[in-house]
Amino acid sequence: MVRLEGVSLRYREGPEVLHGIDLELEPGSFHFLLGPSGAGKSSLMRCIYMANKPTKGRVMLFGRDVQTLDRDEQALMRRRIGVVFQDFRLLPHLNAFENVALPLRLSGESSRALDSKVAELMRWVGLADCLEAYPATLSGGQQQRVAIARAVIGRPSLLVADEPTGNVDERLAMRLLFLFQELNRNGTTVFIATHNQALVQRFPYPFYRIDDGLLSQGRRSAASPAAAGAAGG
Amino acid sequence: MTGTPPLQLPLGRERAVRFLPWLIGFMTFLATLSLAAALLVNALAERWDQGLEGRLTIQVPRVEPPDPVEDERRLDDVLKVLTETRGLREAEVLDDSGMASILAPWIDDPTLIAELRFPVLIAVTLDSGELSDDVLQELSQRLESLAPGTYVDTHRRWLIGPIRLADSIELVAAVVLFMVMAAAVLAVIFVTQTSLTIHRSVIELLHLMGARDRYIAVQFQNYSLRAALFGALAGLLGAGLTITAISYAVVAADQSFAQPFQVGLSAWLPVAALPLAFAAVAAVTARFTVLRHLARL
Repeated sequence: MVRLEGVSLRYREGPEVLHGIDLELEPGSFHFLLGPSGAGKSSLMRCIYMANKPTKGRVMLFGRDVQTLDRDEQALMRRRIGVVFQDFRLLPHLNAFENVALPLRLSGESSRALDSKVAELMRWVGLADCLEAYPATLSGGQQQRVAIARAVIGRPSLLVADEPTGNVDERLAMRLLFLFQELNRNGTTVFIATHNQALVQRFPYPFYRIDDGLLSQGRRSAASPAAAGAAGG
Repeated sequence: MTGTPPLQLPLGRERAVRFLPWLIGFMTFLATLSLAAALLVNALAERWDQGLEGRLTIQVPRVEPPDPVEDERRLDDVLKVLTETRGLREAEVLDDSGMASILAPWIDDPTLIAELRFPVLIAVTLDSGELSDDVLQELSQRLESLAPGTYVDTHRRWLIGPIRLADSIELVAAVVLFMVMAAAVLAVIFVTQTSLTIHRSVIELLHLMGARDRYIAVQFQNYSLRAALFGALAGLLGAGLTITAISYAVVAADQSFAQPFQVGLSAWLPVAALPLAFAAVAAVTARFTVLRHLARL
């Protein structure tokens, strides 16, 4: 599904922010990417959702080297990836309905089919009564859920979420992660970047750790609820 | 929720882009005036041309020393040749009163006209538009042999000046039109590039969601089409009102100028099509500017 081979990244003439990263995500898997702010989580995510080309190394998505794709092929491949951005990136001049509908409009879905899908998804994220609301009138948590709805409406094969719980309280963070879990059960590969170690420890999924642009496989402490749950059952 | 989806790019809201309709409006105003001027001058030249088309004037000089009998004989010979020549429908000798009315602005004394012994004028009407050069040459030679000094006037030399003037004005109008269109293209390129810079983050977002370059280009194209069409229609309306005001003022000053402004509706079609032309040029320019810009990313 996702394979990174020796990926390094440098923004313009700046210092290298990712150093020779190797990573593999199997289809249908769920992974966390844990690391402090400035460790390179977002940069790694940007390489995966094709916002940046690595300065060194290779990014393979769905079995294809993204460097070899022409612009139309890149567009089609991006439609298979749902992205939840750290800063939501909702379009302020569009209401919640139109923001969520955006990926379907881009892929040419008919307006009729679009109505029911958006409404269903807004119910799923608990915002059925906010269809007409503009981002500026929504709280941070509501915006986050609209962003999640937008990321998953196209039924992506891969969901990449950069700090999706960064702006919400603990209770909502858990709720959002249950949404991702539900999506993963339906076959979507999920990769979530977060700095919240406690949250990662609550779920039984493998995680990577990134620090100063270097990636390593994370290890669960035996005391973590997820590890205990896994040991118990 | 169904209906026309809003533009994903909030085009037209930024100050730098909002002046595009105004710019196109002014350009259409100028283009319309120059095109209308060319149209009116062309119509005038055509009217002169049609007025003289199908007619000849033959001047038969009087003999020296004066001999009315010989003059009469020559005139009869000339008329006989004219009636025998194919392609001529009618030949009418201008009598003394006709001559007097033609010369009235300069000479108002009929006896003086008779004394000055002007050539006899014959107004000839042709069957069709005009005679071929060969027929004309042959006719001139025959008349010259019968009445030396006879001159066949096709009126062409009188039309050369106005036709050249009309051609020059048409050329100037074409140059103005080209320059205005070129300025419109440059304005659309500038506005589109500014807009691309302003909306860079939204464009990146659309790309990340799988938008093709064409999809983004179509948004710019449609916006430019609407903005240019709106501006161009306003410019056309402004120019139309200006032309109407000028025509009223000119005709009020001198009724004889009414004719040039009486141009058939079909002749105004190129002018009426100007907003469509501006809109099409703006749309195509915006599309290619965006596609070129995105291809470089």
